[in-house]
Amino acid sequence: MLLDLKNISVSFHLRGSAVHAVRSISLSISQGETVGIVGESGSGKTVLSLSLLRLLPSPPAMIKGNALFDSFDLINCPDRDIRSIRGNRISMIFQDPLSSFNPYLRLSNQLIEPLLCHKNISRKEALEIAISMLSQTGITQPHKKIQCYPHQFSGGMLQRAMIAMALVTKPAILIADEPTTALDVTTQAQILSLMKTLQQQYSMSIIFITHNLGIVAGFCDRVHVMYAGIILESAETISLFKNTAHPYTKALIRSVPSLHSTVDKLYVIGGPPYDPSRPVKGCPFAPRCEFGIAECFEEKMELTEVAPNHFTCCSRIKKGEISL
Amino acid sequence: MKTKSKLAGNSLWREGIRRFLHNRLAVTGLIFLLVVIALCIAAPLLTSYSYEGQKLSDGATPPGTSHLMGTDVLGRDLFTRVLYGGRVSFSVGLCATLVSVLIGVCWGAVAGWCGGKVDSIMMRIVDIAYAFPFTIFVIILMVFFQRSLLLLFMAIGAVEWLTMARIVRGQVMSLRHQEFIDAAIGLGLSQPKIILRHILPNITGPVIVYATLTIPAIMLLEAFLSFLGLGVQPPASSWGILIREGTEAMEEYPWLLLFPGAILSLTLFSLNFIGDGLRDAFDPKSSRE
Amino acid sequence: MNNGNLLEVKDLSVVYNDSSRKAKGNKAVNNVSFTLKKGETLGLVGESGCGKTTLGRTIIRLQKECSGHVLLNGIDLCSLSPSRLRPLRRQMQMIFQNPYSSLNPRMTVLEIIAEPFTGRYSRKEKIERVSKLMVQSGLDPEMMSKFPHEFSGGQRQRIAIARSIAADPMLIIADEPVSSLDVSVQAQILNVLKSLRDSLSLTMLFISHDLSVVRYISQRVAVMYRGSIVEIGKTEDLFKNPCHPYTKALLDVVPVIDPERKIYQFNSVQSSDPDLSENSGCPVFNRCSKRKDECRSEVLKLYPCAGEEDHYCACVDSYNK
Repeated sequence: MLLDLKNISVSFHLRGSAVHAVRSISLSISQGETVGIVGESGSGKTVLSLSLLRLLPSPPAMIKGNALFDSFDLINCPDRDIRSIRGNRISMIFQDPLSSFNPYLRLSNQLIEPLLCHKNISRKEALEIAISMLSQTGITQPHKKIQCYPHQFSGGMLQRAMIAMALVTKPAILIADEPTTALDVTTQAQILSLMKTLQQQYSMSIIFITHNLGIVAGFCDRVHVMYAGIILESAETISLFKNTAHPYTKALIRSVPSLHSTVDKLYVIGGPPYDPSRPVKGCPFAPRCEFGIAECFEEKMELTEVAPNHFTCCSRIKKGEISL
Repeated sequence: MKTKSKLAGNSLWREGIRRFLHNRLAVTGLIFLLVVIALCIAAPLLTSYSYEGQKLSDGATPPGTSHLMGTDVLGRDLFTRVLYGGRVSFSVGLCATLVSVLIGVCWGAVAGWCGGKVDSIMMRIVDIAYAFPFTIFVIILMVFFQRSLLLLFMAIGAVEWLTMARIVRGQVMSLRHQEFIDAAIGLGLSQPKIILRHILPNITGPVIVYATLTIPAIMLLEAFLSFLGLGVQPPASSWGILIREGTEAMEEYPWLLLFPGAILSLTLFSLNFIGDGLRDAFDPKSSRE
Repeated sequence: MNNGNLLEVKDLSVVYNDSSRKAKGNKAVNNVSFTLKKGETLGLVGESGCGKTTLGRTIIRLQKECSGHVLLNGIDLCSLSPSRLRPLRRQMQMIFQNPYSSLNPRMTVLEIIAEPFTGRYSRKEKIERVSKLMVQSGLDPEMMSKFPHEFSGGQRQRIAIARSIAADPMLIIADEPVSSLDVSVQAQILNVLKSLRDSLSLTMLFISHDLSVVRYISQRVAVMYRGSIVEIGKTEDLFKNPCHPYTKALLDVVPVIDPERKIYQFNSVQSSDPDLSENSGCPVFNRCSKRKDECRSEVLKLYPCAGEEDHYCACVDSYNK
């Protein structure tokens, strides 16, 4: 177990009311594994990823739980420990590459920054490492391109530069928050291919956060499906799609228009969208679930194994009352 | 079919006003301002003295029961003069601001909407006017034409519109590329209709904010001109004139400077707090919390 | 005269606005021609920079400068003066991508949807009509006094849809209407569009970068690359038997929910980003074994695909496919 999350919860307190973005998440990641966290907007997946590196402003955010990495507890360790981990042993890449770079600094300055901060090497050595990393991400003429400014690059190239910047310290874990959402399909394929190559080369673990089930199916080893701040289902990828064990996951899969066949009408998840400011009783998906019954509102949300390495918190599935 | 049901909308104005009312500094400023304006308007009811009536025997008395703020060298009641002077200062401030808003909005909206060469020419005119020495301009006006309050309004307003034009032009340019403007064009609306119905309502926020911040600038300008003897002429009083007279006599009769100075400063503070409060309240970024 | 074609686009070209690209001679829309029959939905698919949005905006005359012809019911819109164009604008409406900037934040929903028929009806009639339109788009008519910022992205898009059909248009151009929405909301909006299209017999040009969405809603599909159409045909034909290698490559790299298919194996086509790739002409030129000199040309000509009706492709080899 490289990273072990236990009962992480994140809530925001504003003007007397509390918003529970993440209610209670427990999961673990081993070395070299690609873990996907899937959810729509409002599910809490981005908040969860930001909380691991303590990137959320601490009032109003309140983070509880434990995130065990090596001998550190990322949530509760002192500030100087988390700073030594950020960008060094755990790196993060974001959705919009253009706003992830400082527009006033050349890429060279920004790419060597993590190295100068965490490793005891000279500027010259750091620059060489950065140039080599940039060429590994597929950018031609890296020694010239590294002297450019961010606005001179296109979206796809900047995303590669961001990956280079994140991997320049050879971290153990890469957190990728929707890194290809803003990119074209062809560029997306290239970036995903690149990430896979680098992952294999550096034996890195990747936490891949997305709302796109297609990417998760083709890229991740293990998937956790999030809704309303909790994990509803968690399984190995093939198992998740072949033997889906939660109505929400099934509903999501059905809502996506298919590339290879046509339907008359797309499946729509009914009911009101989740409101994070309201307290939740039992299963948060119950009001919208086609299998929801009164008991669903009383259930304790616990992930239980229903098949080898396949967990769900739907009590009706666990009891075998329904099948998907 | 009822539309004014409990599901009435919460317009951005209402949101902004709610946020404004939470800003204690701005609300204090607003209350103070309203009180001062009310006092100035109600001047005849509050004081029986006339602002020009001299009573040399009462000359230069310090504040006391019969004269709340004391009298000046010529025996004129200072409180009365401050109240009537406030009327002049406020009316100059408001009217000149109105003129500057009118000219500035029209100029800026046309330049921002048309873009291209029209915009370049119009904005270069603004740039040139900015470089023009204002004081000399007013002096020339005052020399060639009769010194009147109206001319003072026009002169000040004719200079202050420049900043408003720049602000409005910037706002209109950024709005022009919004998709709802494209939608309006797509409906076949004529350009004047689009500007009136879609552009202007969306710039009233910044316009109000900057207008509120223009008023104190203009009041200060008027005080400065009157101080130099170029503005309002005695025996009419304005806060600027009172401050000038106060400065001349401040060593012996400090209250003559203290009161008008204090009330002008506090009024300018209030207007600035209100303006800042409005700007924070209507900032579109914070409206999506 | 127009043989059932509501829209005819002939040799339409649009030059880039910014000076650096203008100098290179690159065109945002490069000699595009196609037709749209009444009641048909044509999906326009392509990656960023291919010119599909520019094409849509040019057809609806938001983009004024162009060469070529756009015929709406036989009338050439490109040759009309602004004053003669204005009354015709109502016949074609656009639904925009961004639900946050396509609605005037200072107007109520009632005012927004009623704008196309302001001045024509009494207030009571207006309210009745707007309620009907709101119900058709899946909105609660009680909400008509609310302002756009009080709605979610999906609901705003419904307001935009209601506004566009309020003008009673012949043609609707939907420019990436669901791209910024969540998966479940996307499904709702697509269903609304489809049912409205069917019930009102609307003609639609649906622009998107998402092939699956285009497949769901369109009867015909055109694939664009760098300003030109590289393939056009009936949806079923194009997806089952893609003719152009670019279309094939696009279909390969779209992530599908199939855990057996590892997406990172596909790395075949050169990026559509004009700054990254050097060649003009065909996007798979470098890898194609059958390439000829014509393939390098700027203007891609459409050839009929062998064995299929109404299926055209810019590959010179189409006859043999």
